Amino acid sequence: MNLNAKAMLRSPRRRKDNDQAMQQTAEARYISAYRSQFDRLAGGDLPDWLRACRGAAMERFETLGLPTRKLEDWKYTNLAALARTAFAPAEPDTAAPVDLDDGFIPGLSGPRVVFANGLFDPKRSDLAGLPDGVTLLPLREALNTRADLVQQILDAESPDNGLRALNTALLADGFLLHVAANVAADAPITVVHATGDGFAERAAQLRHIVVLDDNARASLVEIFIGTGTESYWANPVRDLRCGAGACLETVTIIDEGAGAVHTGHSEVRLDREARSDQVALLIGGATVRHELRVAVAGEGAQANLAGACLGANGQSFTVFTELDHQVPHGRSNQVFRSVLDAGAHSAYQGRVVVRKGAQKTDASQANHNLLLDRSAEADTKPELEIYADDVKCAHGATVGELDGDMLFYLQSRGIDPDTARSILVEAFVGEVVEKIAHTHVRDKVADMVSGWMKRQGAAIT
Amino acid sequence: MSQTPKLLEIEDLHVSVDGQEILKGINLAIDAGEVHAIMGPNGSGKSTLSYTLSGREGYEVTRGAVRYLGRDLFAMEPHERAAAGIFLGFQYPVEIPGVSNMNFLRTAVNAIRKANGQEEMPAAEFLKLVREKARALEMDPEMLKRSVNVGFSGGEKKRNEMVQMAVLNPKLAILDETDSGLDIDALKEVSRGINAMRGPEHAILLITHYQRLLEYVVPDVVHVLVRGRIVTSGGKELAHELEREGYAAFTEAA
Ligand SMILES: Nc1ncnc2c1ncn2[C@@H]1O[C@H](COP(=O)(O)OP(=O)(O)O)[C@@H](O)[C@H]1O
Ligand SMILES: [Mg+2]
Repeated sequence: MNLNAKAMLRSPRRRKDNDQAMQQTAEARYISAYRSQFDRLAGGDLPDWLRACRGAAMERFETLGLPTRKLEDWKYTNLAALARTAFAPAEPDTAAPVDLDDGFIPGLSGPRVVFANGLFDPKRSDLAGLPDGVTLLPLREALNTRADLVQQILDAESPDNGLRALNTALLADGFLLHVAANVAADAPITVVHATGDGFAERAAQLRHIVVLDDNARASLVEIFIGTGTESYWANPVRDLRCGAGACLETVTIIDEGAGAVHTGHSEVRLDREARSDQVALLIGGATVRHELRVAVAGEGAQANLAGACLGANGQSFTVFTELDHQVPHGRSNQVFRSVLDAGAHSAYQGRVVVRKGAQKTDASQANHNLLLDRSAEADTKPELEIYADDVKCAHGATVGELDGDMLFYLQSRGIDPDTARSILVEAFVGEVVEKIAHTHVRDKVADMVSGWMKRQGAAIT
Repeated sequence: MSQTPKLLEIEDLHVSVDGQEILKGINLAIDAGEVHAIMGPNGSGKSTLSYTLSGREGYEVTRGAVRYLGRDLFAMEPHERAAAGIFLGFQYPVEIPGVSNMNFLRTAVNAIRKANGQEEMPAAEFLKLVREKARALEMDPEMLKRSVNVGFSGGEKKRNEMVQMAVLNPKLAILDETDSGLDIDALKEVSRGINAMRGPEHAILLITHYQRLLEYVVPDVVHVLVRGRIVTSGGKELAHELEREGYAAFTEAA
C-alpha cells in the first residue's frame, strides 16, 4: 500500500488516469443502479405520456450523470456520497411512521400536505378548507385529473440538470397546487417532509408543482425535518409558475437529519408584474444545497430571495441562485447570510443574468458570513452577466467574525459573554428572519435560530 | 477597625497596550457621593483608564491594584463589573445593527437584576421607566425602537448613553468625554442627566478634554492627567486655571 502511494506521488500523470478510470466505473455503477430502479418502477399505473416523459428524463440522466465539482455551478457542493451508494427510491414499506412534533409551526392552522419517508401520507395530510378556486392535490391524483397542467410543466423542463432529470425519471409523488385567477389563498399551506427511521440509503424524489394564474396569491411553508442520524437523500424539485400580477410567498425550513444529503431545487417563472418572496433557513443535514432559478420573464416582475445558513460540525451548505432577467423593468433582491461554527462550510453562488434588452433591471445581491470559529469556512461568489446597458446591479459580500467592540459594549451593560454572542448572531440572522411575513412562521424560525445558538454555546463551554 | 471601604481605590496603576506603557502609576480614590473630573490632553491615557476600569480586552495591567467596594476589580469580568454597579459612558458609543435599543436595555436591566438576586422587571414597569428617562433627556421615544445607535448623530448617541445610565442607575459612572461633539443645548441636557445622578449613593468620574462641561456639572475634585500620570489634583478652580493657562505648563511638569 505504502509503495503504491509513493509510486503514485512520483508519477502524477498515471495517478490522474487512474482517478479518471475509477470515476468512470463509479459513474457507470451508480447510473446502472438508478437505471434498474427506474426499470423496477415502470409505473404500470401511470399514464402513457408520463411514462414517455420519465423515459426521456432517464436518458438525460444517463448522459448527464450526477453533477461533479468540475462543473462551475457545482464547485462548492460535494455529492460524492450520492455516487458511492445508489440511494433507493421510497417505497410504501419505507413509509414508517415518523414523529412530527417539530414538523409543524405552532399556532399555524390551515391545510397541510405531509410526506413521510418520501411518500405522501394521506392520514396526516389535511387538504380541506381551501377557498374556491384553489386546487391542492397529491401529485398521483393530479397526474390523472390535472394531467394537462402537469404535462405542460414537465415538458417545459430545462434539459441540462442531472438531478432534475433523475427526479423526473423517478417521478411519482409530490403535490400540485393551482390557484385560479384573482383568487387569494393567503393562509399559508404547510408542506412537511418528515424523515425518520427506516429510510437509510433511501431517496425522496418528490416533485411539487405550483401554478398561480393571473393575480392569484398563495403562501407555502415547506419544512424538511429529519429525526435520525442515518444517511438518506432528499432531492425535491419544485416548479413554481406565477402568472401576471400573481404573488407567491414561500418559506423553506431545511432541518434534515444529521446524515442527510439535501439537493433541493426550485424553478420559478414570473410573468408580468408577478412577485415572489422566498425565504429559506438551512440548519440541519450533512450536505445541503438550496438551489433557486428564477426567470424574470414578464416586465415589472419582482423576485425577493433571502436565506440563512446556520452550520456546525462538518456541515456543508450551498445556496445557489440564478436570476435570469429576460425583460425590462424587472427587480430582484437577494439577502443571504451564514453563521458558521467549528468545522462548518457554506457557499453562496449567486448568478444574475441581465439579457440584452432587459433595460432598467434592478438586481441586488448581498451575502454576509459570520464565522464563530477559525475552522469554519465561507465561500461567496456573486456572478454578473450583463448584456444590457441601462441597469442597476449592486452586490456586496463579506466574511467576518463577531465584532469585539459590539461584544464589549453589550458586556459593559451587564450582559454575559454567551448572551452577548447570541444577541449579535440573532441580530445578524434577523435581517433574513424579518423578511418572513407570517408571524407564526417568523417566530418558529426565530426560535430555531436562538435554539441553535444555545446549542452552540453549550458545545463551547 | 472595620471601616466601610471606599467606592473606588486605584493604587499605582500601570497599564500597557500592545506592549507600550500608557498609564504609569495612577493613584486615585473616589467615595460615594463624589464627582471627580479627570482632564488631560489628547493621548494622555484618559480612555485607557476608563477601558481598564470597565474591563475591555487588550489593556494589560502590569502593576498596581484597583479595589471596588473592597473587591479586587480585576478579578471581575466586564459584565460582573456592570452588575456590581459600574457604568462606562463610551467616548464612541458602538452601533449594533439589528438589536433594538429597547430589547438591549431590557436584557441589560434584567441581567443586572438577576446577578443581584432580583426578579426580572415586569414589562410594564420597564417600559414606564425607560420612557420616563428618555423624556427627561428629551430623547425621541421613536429612537428606543431603533437599532442601538445605528444612524444616530453624535449628540443622539451621547444622549442614548445617558438614558442607559439613568435606567441602569449605577453606583459608579465613568463618563468618557460625554461632552465632546455636543452643541450647547445638548450639553445642557446631558449635564442635567448627569446632575440627576448625583447623590450620596452615586459617584461619577467625569473624563473630559474641555472645561466647558464642568460649568454645568461642578466637580468636587479635578485631576490633571498628562502622559499617563496624574500631575496635579485640586478643587473646581483647577479647571479654570487649565482653561486659562492650557495644558502646556503641566505637560512640562510631567
Ligand atoms: N488600542 C490601542 N492600540 C494602540 N495604542 C493605543 C490604543 N489605545 C490607546 N492607545 C494609545 O495610548 C495612548 C493613550 O490613548 P487614550 O487613552 O485613548 O488617550 P485619551 O483618551 O486621553 O485621548 C495614545 O498614545 C494612544 O495612541
Ligand atoms: Mg479618549
